[in-house]
Amino acid sequence: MTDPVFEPDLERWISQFRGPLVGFLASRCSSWADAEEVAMDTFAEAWLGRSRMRAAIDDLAGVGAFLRGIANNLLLARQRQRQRGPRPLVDDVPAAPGAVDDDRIDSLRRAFPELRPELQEVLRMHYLEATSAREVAALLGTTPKTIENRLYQARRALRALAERHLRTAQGVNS
Amino acid sequence: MNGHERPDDDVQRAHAMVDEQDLFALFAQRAPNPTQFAAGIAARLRDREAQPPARKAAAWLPIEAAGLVGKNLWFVVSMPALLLVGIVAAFGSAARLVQGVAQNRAPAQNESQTRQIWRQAFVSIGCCFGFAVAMVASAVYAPHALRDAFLLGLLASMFVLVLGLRSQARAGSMERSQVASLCIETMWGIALVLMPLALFGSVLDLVPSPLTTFAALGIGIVALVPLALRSFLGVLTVVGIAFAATTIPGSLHLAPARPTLAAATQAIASAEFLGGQVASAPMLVDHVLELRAHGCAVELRGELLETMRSQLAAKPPSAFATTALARLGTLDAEAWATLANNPSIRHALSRLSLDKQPLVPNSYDDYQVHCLLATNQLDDRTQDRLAERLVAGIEQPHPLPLLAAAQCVRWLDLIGRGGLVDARRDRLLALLTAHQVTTGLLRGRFCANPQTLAGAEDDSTDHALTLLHRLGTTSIDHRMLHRALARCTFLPTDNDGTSWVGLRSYRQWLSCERLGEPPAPALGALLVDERLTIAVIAFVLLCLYATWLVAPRRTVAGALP
Repeated sequence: MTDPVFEPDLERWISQFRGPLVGFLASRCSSWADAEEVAMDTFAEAWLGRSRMRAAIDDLAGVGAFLRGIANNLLLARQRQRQRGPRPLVDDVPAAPGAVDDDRIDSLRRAFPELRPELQEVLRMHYLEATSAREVAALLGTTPKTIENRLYQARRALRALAERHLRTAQGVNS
Repeated sequence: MNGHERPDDDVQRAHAMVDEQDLFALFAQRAPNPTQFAAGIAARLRDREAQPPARKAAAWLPIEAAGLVGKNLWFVVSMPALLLVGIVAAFGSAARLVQGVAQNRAPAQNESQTRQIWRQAFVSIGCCFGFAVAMVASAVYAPHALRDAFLLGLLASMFVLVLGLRSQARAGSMERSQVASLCIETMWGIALVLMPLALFGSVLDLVPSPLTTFAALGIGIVALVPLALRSFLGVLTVVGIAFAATTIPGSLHLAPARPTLAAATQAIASAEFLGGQVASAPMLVDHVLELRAHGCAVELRGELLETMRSQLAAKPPSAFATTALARLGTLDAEAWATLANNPSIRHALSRLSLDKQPLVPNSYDDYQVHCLLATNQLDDRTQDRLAERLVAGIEQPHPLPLLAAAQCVRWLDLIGRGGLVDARRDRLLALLTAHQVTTGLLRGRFCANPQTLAGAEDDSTDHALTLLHRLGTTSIDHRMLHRALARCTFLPTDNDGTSWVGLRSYRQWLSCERLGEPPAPALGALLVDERLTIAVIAFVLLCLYATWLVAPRRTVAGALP
């Protein structure tokens, strides 16, 4: 499959916000696939409606706020559709990271749901595609310093939780 | 990765954290495939270009009241066509009527000049009065549909003009000069009603430029030439151009969401020139951030900025100035470190976590959270305490509950506890519903007590909109809110910035509501933006046609026997 050719501004939006946007949406959807779907919808709607954007097209914070607004609206519309349709309402448990074989990573995966939602969110947004704190901050409408602070707290809390899980698992095995 | 930096050199802290490589490995399987992702976006862009008819029609919907009728498919589909047909039909039928009137006019009668003047005045005053009533009623009860009220008034004026001409024809006083003056008076009456409303509605958007002034003078001078040559058709053409030149820009300013960026620019310029009060700094920062959101590179300069900076060294530092500078992003790490060492600020920061009573922060105290974040003082314990106090602040009774909720929610988001807000979403939405005024002139707005309307003049509506942005707008009566907010655009910008807040809120709300709408295609955009232009041009053409149809006054008496 060859990469489609987009206009440079859209290319830049995608490269800057693909990871954090999918992470942002994954914190509000029940599956990563749903998050990706809504993220693609968001980029398409945002690009077609860019004339309504009040900020400059290369203003990181402005684009982040614009994408966040559209993503939230699309999520709401999706929820309403599902409530009206025959499909059951999805549960509100946000998507967890993928399963791996490594014990250490597996302990992180099991510890992850125990983190506070806002810390889970920032980890999803930052580590999904190694995005900078600036882009994550732009999408969440806050400062990079706040994001760095949350990442620090998240990594510390996750470490403590993962070690507890690891110890429990080792205790059971021995 | 290029932006995230590990917190300063603290090896112990680094050891206490999960390794970054482990976290990347944890999410590696979930990362979207860039090629498939791009292909998905490309497919969506293609799909949206081939939109279904109803979706396309929704984009064409040419009235501001789109939100009211968006669910009625028939209305959505038929409205653009109806409007075009309406304008063309109104022009066509009015032109035919005028033709009939001109052909069937009665022979000239010796009628008193007073009666002729009254007959003409009846048409122009009738148009003017009808227009004024329609526009004021629309401004009060349906401000979002003001442009369409004007359009309908313009179409109605075509028929009123025809009635006036018929009346002239029956009286036998239908000469080119009289028809031309009737048309001119009618146009003058319409412009007279429109301009104050347009100017009042967007006070400072219409800043008269030298170009506009010279253009108006030029039109006036050009109008004198045909007048001197006694060419009424020429006079009418010039007046018609002047009418269109003033009416079209005026009518464009009737759009309620028109940004009054000039107001922000002027407020900043005057504050910089006059020095300004530090207490007005938060409002000025709102202006600066608003302009920046519109892509304007604006920085605060001059005496006010110097005053604000000097306030940082005061004992205690001004909360207004510190918060304003923090929001502008002008404070670096060194400045924050200096501030954090200030005894009064240190005391204020320590009280945040030591006090136990519910906390409803003031907006000008935002610097405290920024300071905690910038100096890495927001540890888990502080965060937990602060979150507890803020949640209690939301839940305790408060004389201004929406203000309290908005402030607490903002602080919870700032300290990274937005999850607590999400957990209370239903409760907060119920609070909003309970404080929306449902009767009277303030219907749709928010206030502290909707029964007694106590607190209706405060910023409750702005706080409510802040909450709506944060929580989503599902359970609120959009129609009422839309009308109430659109009405704000008819308030002149006052000194305390209340109406500025209303305008800003309305624009934010509209932009939020309109996200996800399909883009307007060329014809849709033409109808949305230019429907008034089309109607104005049709009206001027009708006036010219009516004047051209009627023969000029015969100056030759004819051959004598």
